[in-house]
Amino acid sequence: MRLIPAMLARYAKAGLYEDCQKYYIDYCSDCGACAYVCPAKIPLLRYIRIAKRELNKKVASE
Amino acid sequence: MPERKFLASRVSRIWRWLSVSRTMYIVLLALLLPTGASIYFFGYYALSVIAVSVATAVLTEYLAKKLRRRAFVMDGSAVVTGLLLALTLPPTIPLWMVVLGSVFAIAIVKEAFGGLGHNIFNPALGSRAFMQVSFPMEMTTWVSPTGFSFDAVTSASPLSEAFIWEGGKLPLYRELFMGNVSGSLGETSALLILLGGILLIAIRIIDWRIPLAYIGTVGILSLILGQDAIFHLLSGGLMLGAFFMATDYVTSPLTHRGRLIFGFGAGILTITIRLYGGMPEGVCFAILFMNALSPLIDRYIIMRPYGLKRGAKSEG
Repeated sequence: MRLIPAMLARYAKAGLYEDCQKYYIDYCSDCGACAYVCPAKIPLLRYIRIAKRELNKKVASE
Repeated sequence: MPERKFLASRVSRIWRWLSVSRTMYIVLLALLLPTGASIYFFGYYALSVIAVSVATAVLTEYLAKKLRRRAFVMDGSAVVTGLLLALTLPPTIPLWMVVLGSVFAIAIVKEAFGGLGHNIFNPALGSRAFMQVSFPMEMTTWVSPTGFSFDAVTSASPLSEAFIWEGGKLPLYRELFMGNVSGSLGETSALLILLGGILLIAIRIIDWRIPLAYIGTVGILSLILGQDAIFHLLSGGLMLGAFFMATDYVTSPLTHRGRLIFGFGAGILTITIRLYGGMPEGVCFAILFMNALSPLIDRYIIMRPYGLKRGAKSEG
């Protein structure tokens, strides 16, 4: 998919969910391949899901 | 973590066999080749420099973790850092300096920034730069390789202006390739570093883009500038730096294109320092400079996902 999970997780961890959109978070299909290959066993998918949830919340409240 | 509610998700619980520690031990295995060369060419003292550096690195890592109240994990990264640092040191370096350098690498360059994954600079190279500035004399004293005999003879490193070679170019290339020249402990044998590096590329531990872009840029630039390209490729720390230092995951860009830029920039800087700078060798500072630049590279190289039209807005 050519997404950059490391950057998505970095912004999600910092709570900068809007910035995740610069890195095309909407194109992530939750496949979890990033978490599978991560050598440091970072729960990348968890971070991405949290960011998606927060972004959805924001859209819903608008 | 912002919340603890979503801690478990099914898919992210399966992991590939390749972990940080396994990666580190494979790198360590590949590094055994240049390490063997250093002991073969520089004798027992090389072995003691390496042993002291690695032991100090691991001990410092342990103490730093204790001090920061974090769990100490023997993931091998401290061993790799200690070994890499030792391989960049001159063969006659006093052991107390090795201890100081190793402590600096782990305590200041790595742990003070938050440990593995958070350091801006490659710990081994950062500490080498620190030692070069602190001990300019000891860090530039080279001896010709004498193997296991104890009478070392001081000689200029091939890149310095004082270096004189009597004989044809081909024997010089051969000596540079095999490693029978003066220089830092692990940098002299291009052959064994290449073997280790190609092994790491073949099993996909490191990305070929960084070494290729780096070494390619140095080669092409030295040709353009009318220099002896083969000499520039084989001498100094270029091979060791390109395969084992510049490819550090933490301090290099995330994207393929970013890695090409990283290698290209390091190549330009290395040639610039070698030919026009005050120091004979510029690999260390070139890579450190690009380390500092790689967050910026990651900021500007954003990949476009498949299926998305060129120039399409990311928001929306």
